[in-house]
Amino acid sequence: MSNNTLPTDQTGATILPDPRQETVPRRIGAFFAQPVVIVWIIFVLMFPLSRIVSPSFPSLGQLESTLILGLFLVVVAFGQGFVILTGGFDLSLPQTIALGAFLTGYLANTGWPVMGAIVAATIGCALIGLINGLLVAYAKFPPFIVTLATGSILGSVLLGVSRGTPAQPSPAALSSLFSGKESFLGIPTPIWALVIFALIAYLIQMRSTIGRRTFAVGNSEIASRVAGVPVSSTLIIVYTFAGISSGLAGIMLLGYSSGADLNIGASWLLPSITAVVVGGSAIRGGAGSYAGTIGGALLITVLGIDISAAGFSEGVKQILYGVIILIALIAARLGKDAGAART
Amino acid sequence: MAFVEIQNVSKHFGATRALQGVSLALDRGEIHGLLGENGAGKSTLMKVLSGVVTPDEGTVVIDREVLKHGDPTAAREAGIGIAFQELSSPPNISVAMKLCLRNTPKNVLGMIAQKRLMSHARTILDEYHAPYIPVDALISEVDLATKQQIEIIAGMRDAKRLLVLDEPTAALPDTAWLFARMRHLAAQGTSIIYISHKLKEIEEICSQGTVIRNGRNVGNFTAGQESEKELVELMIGRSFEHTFPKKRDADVRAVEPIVRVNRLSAGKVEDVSFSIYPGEVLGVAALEGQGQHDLFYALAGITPRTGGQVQITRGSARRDTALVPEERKAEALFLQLSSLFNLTVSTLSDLSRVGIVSKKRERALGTARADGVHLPHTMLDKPVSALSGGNQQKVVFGRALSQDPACLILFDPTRGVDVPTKVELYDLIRSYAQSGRAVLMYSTEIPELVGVCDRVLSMHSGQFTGEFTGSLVSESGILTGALNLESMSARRGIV
Repeated sequence: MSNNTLPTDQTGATILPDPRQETVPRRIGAFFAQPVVIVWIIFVLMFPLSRIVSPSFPSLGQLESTLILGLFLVVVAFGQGFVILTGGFDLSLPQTIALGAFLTGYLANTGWPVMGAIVAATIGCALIGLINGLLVAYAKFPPFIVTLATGSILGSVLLGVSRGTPAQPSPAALSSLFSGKESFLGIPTPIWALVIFALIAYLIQMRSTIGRRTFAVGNSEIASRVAGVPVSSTLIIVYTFAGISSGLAGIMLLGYSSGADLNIGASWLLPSITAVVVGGSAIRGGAGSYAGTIGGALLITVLGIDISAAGFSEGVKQILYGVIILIALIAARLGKDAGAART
Repeated sequence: MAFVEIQNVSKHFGATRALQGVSLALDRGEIHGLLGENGAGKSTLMKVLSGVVTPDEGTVVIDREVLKHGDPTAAREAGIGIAFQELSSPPNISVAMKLCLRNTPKNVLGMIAQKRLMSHARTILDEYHAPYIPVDALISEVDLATKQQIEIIAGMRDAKRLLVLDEPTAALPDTAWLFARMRHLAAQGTSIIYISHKLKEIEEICSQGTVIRNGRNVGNFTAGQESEKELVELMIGRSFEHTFPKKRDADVRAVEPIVRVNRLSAGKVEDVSFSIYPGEVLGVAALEGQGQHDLFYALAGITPRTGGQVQITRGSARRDTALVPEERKAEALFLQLSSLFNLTVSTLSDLSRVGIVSKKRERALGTARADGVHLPHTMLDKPVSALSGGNQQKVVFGRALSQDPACLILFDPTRGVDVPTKVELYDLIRSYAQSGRAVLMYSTEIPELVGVCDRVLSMHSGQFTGEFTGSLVSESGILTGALNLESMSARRGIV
């Protein structure tokens, strides 16, 4: 290109293109470099790739079961992700799931209306989250120790209280709602639940005042205090939300599997963290999007389905979750280093 | 050929041209001043010299050897030592470890030999005339000035041929030690690039200097030849009057005070009493670590109070206090998040309904706040970590003002801020006071206190040592108080 093709202004001086202006290819590049976008693209690609493990894949049924099964991970990963956003971890998640399932089943069996049992179970789980939050916010103990301890206590109490009847059958209404056999407008009810929960959770994390404060606290506690962000109450609310989401997952799992024992939550801790990290959240808090977490949760779910279809056991899945976490952390580190080199 | 030749160095990051053909030449043992606003390219040039950044073009020749670019080890081996302004020490290692990072003494098991490490570090500190620094303290335990001193010593140890000092006095108010060490090093044949905003220091220590702006050389100067005004204008590229806003003329103490502090104790502060009146900018002058930090942070509700009362008459204000803290990056900003977030997070209830934030109102409010502190709108969506120091401080100010406090508390509000932004901040401080509120301000730069404050209290060892009003607000008087030169018996009760 020769110089005389450059435009000139009224005075005749050459207008050089502003080097800071974002070009369209650069914008597209930046769009695809976002972890949220990457994880969703990999999720979509998983379907054609599933053909490797089974000739009956990809199929509409596969998508349907991914979304139905994915519901539980989308729910638990919201609570876990919200806590991770503050820079903590909720390790009491398995026992809180068990509490949600156990209380609902137990109360319904003693004659409570199903809705009443669900509400009571949710409140119970919220209380566990509240206790976690109070201990983290006021006693200032490290979150993972606090939640490990409350989880351990809760698990033992549940075991003691439930002696003799550890497995709870699910109320019929709950089973029909979450087993995936009922449909509404041609779409299975758990998928509706997934959409509704995801929307509410998105609003809470990404658009609400408490969500904003959570980002602030996760970025810097001292800066939050300087900026007048109520740090303690934010932490307490976040852990309470985590308790509620674990409880809801427990209730849904009870319905899905038509009954629950106290180990129902055991296999969800690692995937809950994996989904959040794969979704692009910072493991030390302060950054992350719920859209990414949903993508991470669904990606892990479809991987799990493929592993089952290939005939591997549950243990292989747990190995895979661990490996995926490490890969995601390495990718995040590399991405950060590349970003740091640019600035 | 000069001893150190930086020739035609260019570097762009994405679309930003950080350096465009910058050249610099230093003789052996020359102390060379480098002047430039924040964002002028000084730090990129430093990163090129330290091997952190590979330039697009240009060469660096030291003692007739061409420096290998993008290789920190090569830079070190070429005898380049650097003391960064953003202190680079990890907080959890000891002072001794920091000083001996590259040749840590080990025992037979390959573990660190603590005793030898400590004695080695003590030798180093003696050699650099700083034996008072505790070698076994953690980096996070020592105060900012000491951290900077350690950073400088570590840089000087590497600097066999070239030392680069980036705004060393921003955190180190006492220049005597620094300048003595610099002269000693220069006498041994090391050339020094001295980056500073403080023209007086450049005049005092440098023989030659270079001014850069927008990544280009815009001028060279010889110490004592150009006036301060000429240099500032060269630096910012336009005519500029280095002035402070007009102070308030009426006696402020005719009315009821906004802030009444009665026998307050907190941290190093013991039993202090004072008041701040509406419309008043009250300054506190003190050497590093005299309790001013505890005083300011206690008033802001960050440091716990151990005694006394603080009474604040809020009036129409929304909060008692809002703080612009000492360390912008560590204490004030949410670095991973946008400027918009940083500007609006303190007043979320203003822009939300039933707990859900309205994006429209968030943007409208953020834009208004940005206008209030003269922050360009293009900065709003950038992560605040990508902004220059001056713009970051505008964000911090914008947010503090948005909290609408009865008393605005400013702890060294212009540290690491370029000169034009400083002037804008002075105007903001004055106009906030003029709206009938109280301002409490500490600065490491006494001329700044003299220029901005209606009244100044000097502080020493957690106590006030003097009070200066009206025409008595002068550099020499305040310094006398800050150094506590008058006898302790002369201390008066201050109300």
